[in-house]
Amino acid sequence: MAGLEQSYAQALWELLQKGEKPKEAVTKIHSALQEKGRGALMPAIGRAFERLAQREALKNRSVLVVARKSDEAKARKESGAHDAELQIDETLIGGWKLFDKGTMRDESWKSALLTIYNNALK
Amino acid sequence: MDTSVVEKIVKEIEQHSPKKEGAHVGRVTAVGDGVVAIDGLEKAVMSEVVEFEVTAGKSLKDSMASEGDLFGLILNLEEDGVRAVVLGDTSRVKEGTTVKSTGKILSVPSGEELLGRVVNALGEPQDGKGPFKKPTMMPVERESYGVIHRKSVSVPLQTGIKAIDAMIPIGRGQRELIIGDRSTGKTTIAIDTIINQKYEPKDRRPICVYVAIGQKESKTARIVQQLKDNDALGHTIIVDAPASSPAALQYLAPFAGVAIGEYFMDRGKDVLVIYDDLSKQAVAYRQLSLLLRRPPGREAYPGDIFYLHSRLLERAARLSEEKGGGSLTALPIIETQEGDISGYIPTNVISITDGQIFLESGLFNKGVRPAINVGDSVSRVGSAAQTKAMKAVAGTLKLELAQFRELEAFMQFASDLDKATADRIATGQRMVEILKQKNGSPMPFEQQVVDLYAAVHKLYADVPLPKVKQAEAQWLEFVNAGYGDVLDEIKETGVLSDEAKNKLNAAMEAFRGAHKELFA
Repeated sequence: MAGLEQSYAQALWELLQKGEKPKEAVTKIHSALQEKGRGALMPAIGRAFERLAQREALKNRSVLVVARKSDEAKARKESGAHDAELQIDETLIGGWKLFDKGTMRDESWKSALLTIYNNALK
Repeated sequence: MDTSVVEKIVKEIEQHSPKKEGAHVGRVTAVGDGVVAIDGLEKAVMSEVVEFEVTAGKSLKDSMASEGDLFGLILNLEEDGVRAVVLGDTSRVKEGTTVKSTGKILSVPSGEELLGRVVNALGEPQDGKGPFKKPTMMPVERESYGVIHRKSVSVPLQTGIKAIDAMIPIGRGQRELIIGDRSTGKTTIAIDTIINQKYEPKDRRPICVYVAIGQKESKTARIVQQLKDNDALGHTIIVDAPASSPAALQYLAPFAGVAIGEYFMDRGKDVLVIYDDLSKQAVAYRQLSLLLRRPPGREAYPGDIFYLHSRLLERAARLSEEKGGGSLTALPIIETQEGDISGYIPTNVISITDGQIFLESGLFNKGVRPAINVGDSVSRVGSAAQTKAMKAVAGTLKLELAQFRELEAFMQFASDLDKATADRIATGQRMVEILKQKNGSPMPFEQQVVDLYAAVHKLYADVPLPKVKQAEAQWLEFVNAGYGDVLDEIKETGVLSDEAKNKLNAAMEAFRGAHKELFA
């Protein structure tokens, strides 16, 4: 079972999803906790919320990684990720890598070459 | 340039097709002591293998120089993520490392080409003899065969150790525990059993899998050499998870061993798997469970420690003819502390297995080797598999030895004992001598029968105790030289016929006459 701090973090997340303003939501939770004598939980709730936000961001984030800026157009066309955030990673050599909603497609040359190298060595 | 490598690469490129499906990914949020917490991986399943993207951000050259792929095994599915154990060097995993789901359950390679090889708990070769060419992958976790597909144990598994084959017989498909303190000869029994299989005809010879868990590398190296020297490595596979390997691999090693064995069992062959030892596996599993934050129970072991061993040992089976008639015999080893067999893990495994061979340090120190405590040792199903010849000679052996052990305490009053008691003690002492066997010298079944026949029929009654071993050796030499037909008959039929008995009686008379110097 999740800890109390995780439950509060989840509750805070849901409040924000419903359209509550962040500052007001945090203030409400803080005062509710103070009344119950659980004010000390606040830092732990903050940390749990951070983890939750990161997880949700990872889940919904769309990132296209290419080896160089000039590969962008081709990569977007091939991957179909037209709105994805772009990142450059020269170690990919060529091709692209797409992180999209908790999944990853790796069409980089580095990955293909490593697969061939590892299989040839086996 | 090596053309074979180039050909391999060309073939690989031709067959390579870029993956279209995206793999589910997560991110490492915490790592320590071989356990990682992963965020994401929402579609993860229990016991799934995950791959760590340890080459991310590294150049191709650095990636090629690194130790290859790194995998993990999911053991906890939690509300806000998963926890997995790293199957390799944990220091290669960092916070934020991307983790890719593979959608595969952990499996290990198996097949004929593994015979004579040493592999780790993941089935990777450890002996420098190169990779396997066409192995069959076997799942490490698999449901055991049900009642319908099994049949009862009926074929003996000869260990070559007289005390065991005569009094605690083991059948193919049985689970017999070897239990005792440290340095009481547990591994020796297991290794002698493997060596003894070389006397079996090739078509019926069991494939042996020796799983070393948490052992010193030097000990495993010595065992490999011993098997090689005794011409027994050819039918043996060694799975090595040494003390220096991560706890995850020590926990997995027995499952890898049984998975390798199941390949042969499924193809109608007999297999013998030795787990040396399950106490160390339990300790490794306890470590993992505590790191995975599972609630500790008795002696801090997790609640499913019984299930860990029961699901492993349940995979030992004798299969029905419809399933090929193969078998998998399990010889788990448990190390006790100060001879205490009432500990948590020993009692668990005793209750799971079909009997136990209990080794005692007291007997070992007295020079009785193998140091088997006949009173506490038992085989619950093996007697059904014992050959008629062995039954004929060993029928009363256990009882006689038990009576001797009771009378042994009175030996110091030898001068005051009545003749019947003194005779019984003298017979018992000679029997103990006969059952002694040197390390690494298992005895073929037919020779055991002849040897025990002589002992039971009081051939050594008049031989002074210090000369009993010498008399035994000379008796076997005598029979081998002049009565080979009797040995062949016992070996082929498994029966000690009246004719063979008469021949042996005559042989004993002749032996007495030929070796008068041995008899007082």
